[in-house]
Amino acid sequence: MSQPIPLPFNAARVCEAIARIGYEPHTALMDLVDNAVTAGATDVRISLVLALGKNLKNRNGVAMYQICDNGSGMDVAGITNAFALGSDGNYKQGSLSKYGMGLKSAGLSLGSTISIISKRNGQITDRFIFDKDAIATANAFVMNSEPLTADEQTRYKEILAGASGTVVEIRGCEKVNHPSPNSTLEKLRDRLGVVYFSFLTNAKNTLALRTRAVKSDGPASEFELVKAKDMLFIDLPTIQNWDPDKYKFSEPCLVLSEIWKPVSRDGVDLPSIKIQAVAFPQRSLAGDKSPLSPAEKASVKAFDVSTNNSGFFVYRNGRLIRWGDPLDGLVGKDDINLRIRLDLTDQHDDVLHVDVTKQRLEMDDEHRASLEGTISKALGTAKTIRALCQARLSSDDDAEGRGFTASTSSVPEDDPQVASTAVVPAKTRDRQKKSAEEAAKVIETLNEELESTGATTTEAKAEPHVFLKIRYSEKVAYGQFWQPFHDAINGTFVCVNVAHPFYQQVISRYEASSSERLALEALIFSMGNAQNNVQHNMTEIEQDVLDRIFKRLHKNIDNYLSDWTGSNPEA
Amino acid sequence: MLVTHCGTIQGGKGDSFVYGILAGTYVYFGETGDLPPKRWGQHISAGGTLTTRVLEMTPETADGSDAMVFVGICCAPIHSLPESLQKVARRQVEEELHRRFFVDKAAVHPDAELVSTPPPVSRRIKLPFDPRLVAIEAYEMICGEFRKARAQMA
Repeated sequence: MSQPIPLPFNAARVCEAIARIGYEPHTALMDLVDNAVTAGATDVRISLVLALGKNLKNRNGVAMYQICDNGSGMDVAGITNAFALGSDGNYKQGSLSKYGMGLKSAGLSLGSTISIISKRNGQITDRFIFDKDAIATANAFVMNSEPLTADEQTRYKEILAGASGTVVEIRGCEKVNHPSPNSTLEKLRDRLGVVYFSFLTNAKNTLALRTRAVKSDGPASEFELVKAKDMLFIDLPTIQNWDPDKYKFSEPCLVLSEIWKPVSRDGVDLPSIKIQAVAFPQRSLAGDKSPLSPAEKASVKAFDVSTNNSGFFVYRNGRLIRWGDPLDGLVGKDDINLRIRLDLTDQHDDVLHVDVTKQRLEMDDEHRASLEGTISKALGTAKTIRALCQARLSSDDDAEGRGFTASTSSVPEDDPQVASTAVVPAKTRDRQKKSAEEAAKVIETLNEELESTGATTTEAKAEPHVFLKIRYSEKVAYGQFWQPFHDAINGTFVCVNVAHPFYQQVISRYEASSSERLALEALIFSMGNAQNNVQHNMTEIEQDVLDRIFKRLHKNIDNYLSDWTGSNPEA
Repeated sequence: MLVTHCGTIQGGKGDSFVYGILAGTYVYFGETGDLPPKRWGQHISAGGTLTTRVLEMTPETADGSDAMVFVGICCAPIHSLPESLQKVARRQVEEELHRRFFVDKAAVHPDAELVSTPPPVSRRIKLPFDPRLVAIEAYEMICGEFRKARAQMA
């Protein structure tokens, strides 16, 4: 039978190792805030005490980080457990803690000593110190304790004014290379409101988070209260659901809301994961060249659309653990206007491989593929919104068909098979007359359609005396993409079916007078004019035969364009 | 019982359908504007999309030894659309059907593997109904039929 053989270890090197698992000062401080939240705190205060002679802009300018909370507090046994490596958590479901390493690893990433003074049931403890140098000397995991002086007793009683709470202080910060205190404070200001959004807005047990910088030898400065911020703006009253016809360029758009049921390997049921995605208008719509109003521009600017703020915002038990993560390329660098929120619980830690710092997660291929399939809709819609924004930016605000109409003023519509000097045969004149009567009815219908859609449509902006040669309408005959008509005075005009997928997906993306639109309109118009000329001039063929031929022709065009559009959604 | 009922398909040419096929643990979703059995025949013929995909994934189970389940779902809201929009609408429902699998594949089976590919769809085309809601209902029906058939085969 094998005998366990104890192995030696170097306690100081273990401390070095756990201090270097990838914290930045603001993320380390937030890991310490997690402990306070887990202890049920409703008030957490973070102070950066500046070193003598240093200011906010000096690198390594912090002498001490202090985190005070009004949570449940600890007695000596609790503090001993907190300092133990891999402390015995017995964490409740939903806890922000995981491996019981956060206090030590986050604390030692900030400085060389971590001290705790705690209050439980009205009793304030001594100061307990986890000192890397003392551990190195003893080559064992030890903590020291020292009684509080009378002055300290008074000070900590003030800090821990409630029935319970804890003060964590990190000293020896000058031994660690850190960015300036200002940089850390700015990141805390920017991020705390997002990271703890659920806790800051929890109606039952609202958390208050405060930050400040203090001079070591100066008067105490005021704390700044952290404001809750949802990076997805889900609760914004003006958030819209995706509707290509009603898209508002100044507001976010909810483009996905799904409940994902991940499958665990061992067959154990896992809680569902809520996935929400919001696509934002492009940042350039807030710029000088934007056609939006000042209020709309301000709205766009407030969304702070940027690469850093795009991608996945992953929450674990309500606490943000990943900010703008592309999750291994699921969201690309072009998807700058898309934010996706994933709401995990600690029960997903294993299946999604949440790491010690709770800042990273890695998915296996199967879950990655599921997530990719789920968010594909959001990615597609965000891309469409970017294209709409781009078109809006270059918009000339012209009426559809007006640009083409202007371009046709000197272009004859004659049938090349008919000599222009020839007398128009009676049969042709009859057909033209019949066509013109139909056209008059159509124009009446189109005018009614214009009135019913209100004066804000682009077509309504056209000057009333301009006879539009291309008109966009829903009133075209069923099953046709376009239909030509013959006006007795103005000649051919063509109605394009706006309900057709080829219009919705392809033509509508080009601005009214863009060269692409004019080229497409020229093609459509030329075919419409040709149809009119054939209908009127090929009098040797009976009208009903021609009608059947053109009906079939249009059916073919309609069918092909529908299929082509469906098969090429990116076109 | 000497015989068991193995399914009934009803509908006319030109109706709109989405469908699910279960072959062992492999799942295939599709759409058609014709009676589904015509498409199913193409899928499982030599060189058909389903046969080919299954063959790519596990050559040894592509010989048809696994029992197969075919479920066709008739999508009434699509019938009332102009013909030019029906194909686009079916594709949108089919795409959402694939998404149902991605978000809840355990509804088919925890080990189920998807062998069809969601069709590309345009986000610019608006339908008068929500294809997601149609797909949710269709997915529930398809999964229910899969479970029933598996239970009968067990």
